[in-house]
Amino acid sequence: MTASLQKTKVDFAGLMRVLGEALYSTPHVAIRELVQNAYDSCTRRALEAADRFEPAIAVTVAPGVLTITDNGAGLTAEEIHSYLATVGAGYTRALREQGAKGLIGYFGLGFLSRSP
Amino acid sequence: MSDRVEVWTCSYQAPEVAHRFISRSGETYTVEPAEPRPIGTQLRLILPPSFPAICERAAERNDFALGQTLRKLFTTLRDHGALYEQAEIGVAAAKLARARGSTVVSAMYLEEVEAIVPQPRQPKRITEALQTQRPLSRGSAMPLAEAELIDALTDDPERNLELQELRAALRELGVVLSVRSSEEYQIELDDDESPVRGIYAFLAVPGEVETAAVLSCLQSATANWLAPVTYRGLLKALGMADALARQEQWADRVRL
Repeated sequence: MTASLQKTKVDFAGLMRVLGEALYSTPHVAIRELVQNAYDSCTRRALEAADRFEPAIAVTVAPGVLTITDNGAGLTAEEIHSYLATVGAGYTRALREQGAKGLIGYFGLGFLSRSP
Repeated sequence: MSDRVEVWTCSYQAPEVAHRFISRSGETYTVEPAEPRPIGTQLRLILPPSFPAICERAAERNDFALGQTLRKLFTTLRDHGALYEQAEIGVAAAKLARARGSTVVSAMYLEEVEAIVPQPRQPKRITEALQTQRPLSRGSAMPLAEAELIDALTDDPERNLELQELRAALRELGVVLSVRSSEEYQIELDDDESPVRGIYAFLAVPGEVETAAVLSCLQSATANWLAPVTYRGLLKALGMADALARQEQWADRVRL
């Protein structure tokens, strides 16, 4: 039998569950992560965009619905695919590695916290 | 924690267009053009009916499972030759534990980090993280704010025998007992009697040791103690509902 290089397989559902349970033990922590994302988005806009703006984050609760709104940098369609929908890929980390200060996120896992 | 998530966002890079991201399971999602909105993001979480119940779960109910996950991770990393990653993850875990209000667990994780990387080999960043976090993690909602590591309950050797026997019995299994107490940690067993000093202990259990064996050792070594010892995390892990209920009743009675 000859040795062959195989690609490691990932059980996506299992990984999401383990990460969700291990990182976010209570909904409060998960919500904090999402607010941190909003904060980092405002920091990103202040760093990258030319316009002046007053950062604002609002968290509202209605029966069965939690809404977090920010006026940060926002996302293009491409960024949604690259960062929002890719576990482990965080734009904030890339910014921090370029020397940006005042950011909270790191591992690209914050958005995972809202997963079931 | 949500049944469905919707993200309505508009980038400063293209303020004339907005997009909506929708995901139900976390595993699949859709992205489509959406009605215009100001630069920024609105995230809507549609919460499941069970959400209020989830919120009411005490954080410590997860501590045991999280600790197990962490130790598995440490073992895997060590087996693959990692030197410092375990310590960095341990420091991060301690920070998370503190964030969920489990300061005692946080202190335990920091102790594990110190055990993994002894002082002379510690990279500067680990030393700094330990120095910053240690004072924050020692406090506790329990009367353990000034708790110290102890080897003996009193100066009376006779009265310390029980603790020594428990320590020895656990050591036979390879389990290390770390006991804490303070003058403030007093338990009222009965209204008519003066309170007795309480202890709080951590067990460092090697991965290969069966949880049931640890439980059996604890049960036999503490069977004749003046006040019952509670180990609810162990009972929960082993699915021993009746014994767990009895210990919870006891814990409520003496306000542990």
